[in-house]
Amino acid sequence: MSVASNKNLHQTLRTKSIFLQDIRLFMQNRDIMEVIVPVLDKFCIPDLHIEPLQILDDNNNEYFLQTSPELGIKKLLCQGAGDCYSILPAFRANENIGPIHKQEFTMLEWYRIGLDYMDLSDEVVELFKLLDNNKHNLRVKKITHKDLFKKYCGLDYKKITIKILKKICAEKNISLPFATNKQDILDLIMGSYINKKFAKNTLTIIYNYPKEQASLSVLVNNMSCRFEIYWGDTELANGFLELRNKKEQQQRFETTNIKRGQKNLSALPIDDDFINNLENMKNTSGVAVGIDRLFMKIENHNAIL
Amino acid sequence: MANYNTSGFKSGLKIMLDNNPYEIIENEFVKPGKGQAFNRVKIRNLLNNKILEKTFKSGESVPAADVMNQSYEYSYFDGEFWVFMDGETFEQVSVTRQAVGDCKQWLKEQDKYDITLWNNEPISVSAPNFVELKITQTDPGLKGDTAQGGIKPATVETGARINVPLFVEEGETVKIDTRNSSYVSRIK
Repeated sequence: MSVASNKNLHQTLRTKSIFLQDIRLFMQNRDIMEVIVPVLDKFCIPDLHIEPLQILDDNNNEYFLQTSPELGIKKLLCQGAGDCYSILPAFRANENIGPIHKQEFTMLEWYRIGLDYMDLSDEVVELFKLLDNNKHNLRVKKITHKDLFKKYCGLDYKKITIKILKKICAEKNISLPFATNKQDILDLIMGSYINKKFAKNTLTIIYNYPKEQASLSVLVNNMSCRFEIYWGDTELANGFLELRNKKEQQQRFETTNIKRGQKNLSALPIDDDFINNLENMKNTSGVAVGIDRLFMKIENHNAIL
Repeated sequence: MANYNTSGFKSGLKIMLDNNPYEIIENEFVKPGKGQAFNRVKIRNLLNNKILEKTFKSGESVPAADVMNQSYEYSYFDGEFWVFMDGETFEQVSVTRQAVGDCKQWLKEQDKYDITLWNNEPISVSAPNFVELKITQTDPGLKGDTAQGGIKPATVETGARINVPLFVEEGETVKIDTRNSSYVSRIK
């Protein structure tokens, strides 16, 4: 969006301000309290594909700008904080700056004790609809990750081989990068083909991800209790039934660090305090929403502010 | 030559791929969920203008192509090469038929043209969007046809053939849009 004049700018800022107030009202009405957690921390969540910005002070102390408020909020949850949310800046290194990507963006993240992840996905939809205020007559579709690939690519989940995935890419005119693996090709098909098939004003809830994409979610029968929500082709939300098993969490972080090493990325320090208290967290579902993108969608802008 | 990381990809960037210089025309950053990020690019081969789609894993680097544009004056055709001269250093470059391409029909001696050099070798010549050239041959227009906006073929001093309105006569200079070889106006 180009800001044509000061008047337009003022109007946009006012609309954004009301949008933020409406989010806070939504949370307040559900007795979800706002918390502020560190944006700068000595630890971060190790991720294979999300790079934190690193900061060194004059004494060579190392800090990370958080890629999401997840670590900070979960540490509060482990201490018994209860239902809570944050609206905070999140940072990503090496993002290719474009219409929907920036190094810094605003993340709304909230956690619900005792709520199932699919019920939480319904709550996200409720929030989106409330904020949209019938501007787009949003429709909702739910589909498992498995059925999604079956529907759009005819892919049989039990028979995923590199050869089959390469064939799908050839059929769909998706050129492949030089060295690649199964998970990467699935990501590529998802991000450059399948999402383009989603109808414009439809919220698509994709759920039950393959275990390799579990991240910090619970696994049930080798399926990750995770969902994502797209508005049209734009990804807006990612939610988990939160993993509470200390040993498994430690293992996943270590595996991520090993995989990071294979990609010549540095291992990231693991927050022992977080791991050791993880089992104090109650059964919880949590979700993160990129609210710059959400605002863009509601206001029909073609880029985030 | 330097390398470009995918995070610096943007249209206009010149990169090397399979020993050919390419220009990035479009760059799309794809980042699904917590997954691997990719740059899907549309690139144009600077040697033959063919357009390709290519996907890179974000974070990869590709060599930069040593490509630059420089303005040269057209001097003459020696039967094999089109010879241009740097107006400041008087250094000459000889351009092949393939590199001069469709531009050859617009080349007028002493006029300036942008030449794309790869490793200091000319690989393409581009004409300005508009050129002014003299009509060397066209049949006389018939009186009364002007109202219908009729057109007729004409040849200009560089040998290019274009369509002009019936009122345009031999010896007149016309402005031409080289992108579609179309007549724009008469120059008084």
